[in-house]
Amino acid sequence: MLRMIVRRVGVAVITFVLASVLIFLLVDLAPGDPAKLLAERRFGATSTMENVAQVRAELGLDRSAPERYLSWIGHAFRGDFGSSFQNGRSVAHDLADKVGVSLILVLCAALVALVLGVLLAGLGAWRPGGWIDRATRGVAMTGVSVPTFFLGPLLLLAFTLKAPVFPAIGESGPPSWVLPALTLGCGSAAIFAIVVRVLVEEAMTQQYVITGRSVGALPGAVLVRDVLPNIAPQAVTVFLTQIGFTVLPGLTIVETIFAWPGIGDYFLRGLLFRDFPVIQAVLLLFVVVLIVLNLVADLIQGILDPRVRRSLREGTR
Amino acid sequence: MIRTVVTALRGLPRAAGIAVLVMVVVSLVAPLLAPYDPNAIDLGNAFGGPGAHHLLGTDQLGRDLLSRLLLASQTTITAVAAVIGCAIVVGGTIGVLAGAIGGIVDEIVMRVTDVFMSIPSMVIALAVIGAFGTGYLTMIIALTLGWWSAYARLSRSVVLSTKEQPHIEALKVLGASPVRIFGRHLVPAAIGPALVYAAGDAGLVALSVASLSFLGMGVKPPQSEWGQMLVDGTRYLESDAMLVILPGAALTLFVVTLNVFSRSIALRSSQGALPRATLARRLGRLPSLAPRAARVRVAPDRAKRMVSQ
Repeated sequence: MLRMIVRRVGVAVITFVLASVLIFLLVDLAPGDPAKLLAERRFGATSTMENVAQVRAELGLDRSAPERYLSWIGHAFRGDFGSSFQNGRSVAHDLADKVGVSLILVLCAALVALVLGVLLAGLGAWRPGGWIDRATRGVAMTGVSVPTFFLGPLLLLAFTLKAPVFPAIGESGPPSWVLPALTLGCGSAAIFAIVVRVLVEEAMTQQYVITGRSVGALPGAVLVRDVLPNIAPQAVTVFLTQIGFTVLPGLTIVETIFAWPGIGDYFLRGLLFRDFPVIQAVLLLFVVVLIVLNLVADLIQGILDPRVRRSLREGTR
Repeated sequence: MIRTVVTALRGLPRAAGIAVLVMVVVSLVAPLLAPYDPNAIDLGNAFGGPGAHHLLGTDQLGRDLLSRLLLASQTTITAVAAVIGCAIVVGGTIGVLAGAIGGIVDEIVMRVTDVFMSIPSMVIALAVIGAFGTGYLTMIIALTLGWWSAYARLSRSVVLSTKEQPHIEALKVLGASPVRIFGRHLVPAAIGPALVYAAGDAGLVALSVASLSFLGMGVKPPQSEWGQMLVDGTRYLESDAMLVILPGAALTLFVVTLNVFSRSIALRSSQGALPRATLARRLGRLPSLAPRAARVRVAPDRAKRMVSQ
């Protein structure tokens, strides 16, 4: 068991290192000379070669690439992500400010994904092959295909402009959380619904379920006692990776639509301005979150699945 | 393979297949079909509703919406084709080489592929565009960088299983050069599954192109593209909702059709076996960080059940 954890963590660390190297290379290879840009900003259009060289030495850009990488990652671990090119403010400080807002959005969207997904899947699994099943499958398929930046304005149109139910812009307490969470969560909800539906269908064709039903076990009991524990590991894994792959990237778009001052919005501004410290910091943060989610998903699957637990105990791996 | 596709599809999947074909054809001849120049500004006619002159109305600058939507479909389809084409070529080559050469090269390639696969394609594309600036070519390259890894893993697993086949052994014994084996046997074997996977990817790539344009990092005005029309239209949501509804509906329809079609293709593909990466993607799951992709067999009767809608 311990060996599995250690191995997973090891792989995660290696992936993190590789990803951080890629992030560093991305910015390193990017065209444009930050030293020249900053020198121009500081000394105006009359900046000379000496000014540029001075700025370059200040930023430490005259060192070799591995040195710069180590310096960057070292600072990052200590919580120093440099200063933004746009306004010179500490990136770490800005990030800390904005994390709260994005966290609210992500958690609400995850809730939406979970509830809607399970609901859709449950409706479908109730009578497999029936019209409800096909209808929910159609809804899920549409949910996967609808772009977030279409759903957002549609919801705004329906619930804000036509009938003032929810506030439209900005983060202002729970009522303002509803529309953005729905927009962000629907895509994941649809995917989650499809996956859970398939898992439940697989589980329901298992021998023990058929036997249980045929000897008269109640559908509810069978569901909770036989189906749920068997789909739990995979369902949890899918859910967590969905958060990483659909919810987090969608943050940028949803925060733009609803004007929430979160990390996605911050990232976008950094990208449009080519503010490298910001870009690097957000990417690094994102990669860490993704890797942690993946790790947790892997570990949960290992823990929840008795077969894995038993095989580990017996030493076979 | 085409025969398999045509004979195996009935009902909804066949309708979707025809719809896809129609969409592709329409988008290719879009300039001929468009009644007006999509970039012709006519401020006097701005926000015009549907009518005799403009079937779908006009946008905030008086440009004919129908023409813009048609051109947008062409922009999107060309972009998607370019991205997927490049992703298959780049990813496929890397994957086949890794599988064929094996050893330390294979390990390195797999690690790099793993890292790329563990970061969402959109984020990779955003990062590349952020670092290298906006522009059509940059967008294509950025999206290719986001999508190549899946094809690398896919073609590698195909090659790994093909390598063991008796006919490859026989060719080696007969003295065929590695290049010949590579080009005439390994590469063609990888193309089929790659195309099946690409059909499923197409919808996501289209959404990503539109997303990038929405954020201002993809297709820029005055070129028409659905995402870009949406970001413009959102500004006028109160006055003229059609500017948002029409491109959004067009994009959704496009992606839904592609998705429905590709699901049926994938599940009924002639081999009947899906590499784990494909199955995981179909089911919306991320392949774990383990280095080797195993093959998962989907039994024919289950496949039929999953597809029968």
